[in-house]
Amino acid sequence: MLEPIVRFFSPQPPAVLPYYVAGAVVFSILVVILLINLPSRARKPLIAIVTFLAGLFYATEFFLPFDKATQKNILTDYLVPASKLGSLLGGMTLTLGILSLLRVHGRNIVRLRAGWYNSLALLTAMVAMVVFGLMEKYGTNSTAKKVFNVLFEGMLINMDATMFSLIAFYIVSAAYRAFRIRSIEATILMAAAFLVMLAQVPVGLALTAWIPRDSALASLRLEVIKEWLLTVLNAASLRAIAFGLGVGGLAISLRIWLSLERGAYFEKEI
Amino acid sequence: MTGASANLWEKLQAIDRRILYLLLLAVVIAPLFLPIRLPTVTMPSTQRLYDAIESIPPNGFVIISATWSGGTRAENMPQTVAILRHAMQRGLRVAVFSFDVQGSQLSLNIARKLAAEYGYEYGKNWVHWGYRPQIGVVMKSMVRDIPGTFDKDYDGKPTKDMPVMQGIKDIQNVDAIVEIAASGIYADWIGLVVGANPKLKFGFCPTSVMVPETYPYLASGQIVGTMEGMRGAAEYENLLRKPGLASVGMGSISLAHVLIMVLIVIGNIGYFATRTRRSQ
Repeated sequence: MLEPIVRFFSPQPPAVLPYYVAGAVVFSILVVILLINLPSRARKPLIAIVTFLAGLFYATEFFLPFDKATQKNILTDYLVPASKLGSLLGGMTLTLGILSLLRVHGRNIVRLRAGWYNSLALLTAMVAMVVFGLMEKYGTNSTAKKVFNVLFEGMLINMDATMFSLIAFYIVSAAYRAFRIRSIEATILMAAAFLVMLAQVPVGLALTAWIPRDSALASLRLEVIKEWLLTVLNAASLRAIAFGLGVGGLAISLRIWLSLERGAYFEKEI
Repeated sequence: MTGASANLWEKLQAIDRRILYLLLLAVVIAPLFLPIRLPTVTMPSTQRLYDAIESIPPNGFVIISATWSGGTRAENMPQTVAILRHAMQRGLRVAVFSFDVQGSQLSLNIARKLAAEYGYEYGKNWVHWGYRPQIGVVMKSMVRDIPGTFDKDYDGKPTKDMPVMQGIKDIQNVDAIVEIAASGIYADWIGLVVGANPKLKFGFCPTSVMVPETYPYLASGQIVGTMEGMRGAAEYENLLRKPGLASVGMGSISLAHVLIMVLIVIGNIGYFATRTRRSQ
């Protein structure tokens, strides 16, 4: 039934590929224009229908019994095309995000608002990364490849690491200022934290490494205490939290799937 | 209690943050230049992951997902190196990919280096499927159709005819998946993929802060073993008898932990002394 559609969306020979790409771009633009011009009262039902159908596909595929020989049901073969459609939609949302960034920060620059130079740095970095990224992927210019490497591996990855590393300094400062034994609960928490922290590093483990593993005192070795804390006390409480989250997640998923969710985002006029 | 001593107790509670930052910087940097020899105790979770990889028959197929970025490189990079090294030491077929665009490039660099070291040929012994967005949809579709889900490698070349992919149709043909991540992505793997193949071994290499939340899944066996942060990577390097980045970093990590504990104790001594003085 869905075979012609699947064939249409399958990889095409290079000779016709440009026509497919052009057609997809034109089609996407038309769809976006159509959606923008839809009256507000028509948008919500449309979103509700699309959301329901998308969720229904995965739910039905999951619950429909499989044929024992092929381990498939009638929808199984369409999982991959569906995943590709999901990726395409993800790509389109990325475009929306870029357009939004350009609009917000472009306005900051044009009107020379406070901190406009930050907006300029953001857009310059974004454009440079896109241009050199595309040249690196599809071009043959070796300089462009080197520039991309400097931008991506030399700058982006290292700046990311630097930003994350700064957290360590704040953690030290915050732990020192905030960790006060003001109650029994805080004392228990600190004792557990110290034991786990000590068992997390070799210098701590070395403190009890002299206790033979097969002796009666083996349960006093730090790694054993840590293992007990994490596998018994910690795991039990995490299971309880995970169970609560799971039930809550199921409820929220159902509400979103059936478009029953209410709140600032879902009731906002779009 | 004199005014001077009272002042001292209050000062102990309010050490200038710049001094704290300098102390941390010193304890992190010093061991990199003056290495500290510390005993390594292998945790059961690390041993279980190691044993799981050891139990895969030669030429088995392992998927390594490197969902991390530069921010957690200190922990996730040694983990990626260790697990890839182990797979290549054992002569397993390896497929690497990432749900993070940075992780894709970083894992590719690591895999290339190790492949050269172990004489692994691209396309024959290993493949890199590149960056894959949409965690849920990729996982759902790879359960049924791996060549269809990962039809192209990081460079856009078709993977279908690569020798490394021969015989790999769906998740039933995969021996192990190891996720190296700084997020709770293990829950997606367990929910969508792991249950589909009862023989599949799923290992997880989280950052240290994420370790506690993995324990219920370790206990249930849904995660076969973990490499817990940089310490886990150091233990794994020790098991492989190939000390690397993580082993070097253990001195810094140890001293940083000790510093935090000492500072907390100092702060509390000041707090108790001040409180006692006030109650008197």
